[in-house]
Amino acid sequence: MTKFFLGFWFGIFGILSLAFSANDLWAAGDGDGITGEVFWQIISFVLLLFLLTYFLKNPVRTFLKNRREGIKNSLEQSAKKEEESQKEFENWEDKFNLLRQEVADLHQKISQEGKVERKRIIARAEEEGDRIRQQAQVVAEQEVKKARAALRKEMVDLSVELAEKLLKEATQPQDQGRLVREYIGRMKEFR
Amino acid sequence: MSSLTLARKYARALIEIGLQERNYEALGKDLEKMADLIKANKELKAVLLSPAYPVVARKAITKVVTEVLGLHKSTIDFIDLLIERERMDHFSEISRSYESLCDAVSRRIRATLVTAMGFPPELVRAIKSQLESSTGKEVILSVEEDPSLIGGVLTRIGNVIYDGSLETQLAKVKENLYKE
Repeated sequence: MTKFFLGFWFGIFGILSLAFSANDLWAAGDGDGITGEVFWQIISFVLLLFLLTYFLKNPVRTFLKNRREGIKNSLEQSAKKEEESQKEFENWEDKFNLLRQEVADLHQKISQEGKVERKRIIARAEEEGDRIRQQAQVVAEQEVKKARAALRKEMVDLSVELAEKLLKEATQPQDQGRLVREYIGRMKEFR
Repeated sequence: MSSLTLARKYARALIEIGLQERNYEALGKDLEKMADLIKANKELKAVLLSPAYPVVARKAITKVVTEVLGLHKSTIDFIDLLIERERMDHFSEISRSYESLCDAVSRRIRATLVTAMGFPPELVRAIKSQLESSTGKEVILSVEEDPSLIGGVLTRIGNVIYDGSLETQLAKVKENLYKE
């Protein structure tokens, strides 16, 4: 830092030397040269520079140092964050790939299960259809049997009723005598 | 005690007396006569069965009636006993039980011949003879007519029926036709 200030002051003197040299040049020409007013302005300026340098040296130095360290830290943090972000990105990318795979697997599984379920439903529907058909057939057969039985019963009832009527009309005392004799004949079996 | 049990108890007591006196058949006839009279005469029945009339009065009435009917002394005593014990309402049942006991003692049975229409008496006798031969007992046969039998006859002995009627044969035919 000392070197810097030395350099700075050398620079100031250099500029002033150049200014005086230039004044000489102007004086050598048609110029009027540096007047006293200008000279004092230069001196004021230099003095201002000196005072500024003297009072602002440490704060500016600290500020710059802090600024440098801040930027360095920011850069480091940025690099760290970038690295973390990269890792996070990779992590999420892995998760995303995994999810995509899971989704694909799930889709495939659902598709297969759907096929199996469809087959099962179709099989069950066919089975149910067969059962209903068989049941309907049994019911129909039973109904036919019932109808036949009812018809037969009616026929028998009518036939027997007719036979009874005919017998009542046709049975004569001689028939009764014959029936009683047959009955007496069968009485031996009554023991 | 049921009416039947009670009637049997009294009938058994009377027949034991009849067996000792060797006149159980006559006592049975006495009971039958008295039962018929009570059945036919509602006023007499009302008096004998009602506890509202004094026992002495009922016994006096019975004495007159039994003398008119010519009943045996044992029967009269038996009826007096029934009046004393207020059992005259079971008289007809006692009479029937006595008849059954008499039949059992005399080795005879009662049968009913049911016929669709009348037929010659010799066939009735043949049936009676056949029944006696089958059961080994004397048979008292009563004949009833029932046109619903269509033709033929049936004999009922107690709870047993020997059926030779056309009605039953038709019923069997009907049953067989149903089964076929």
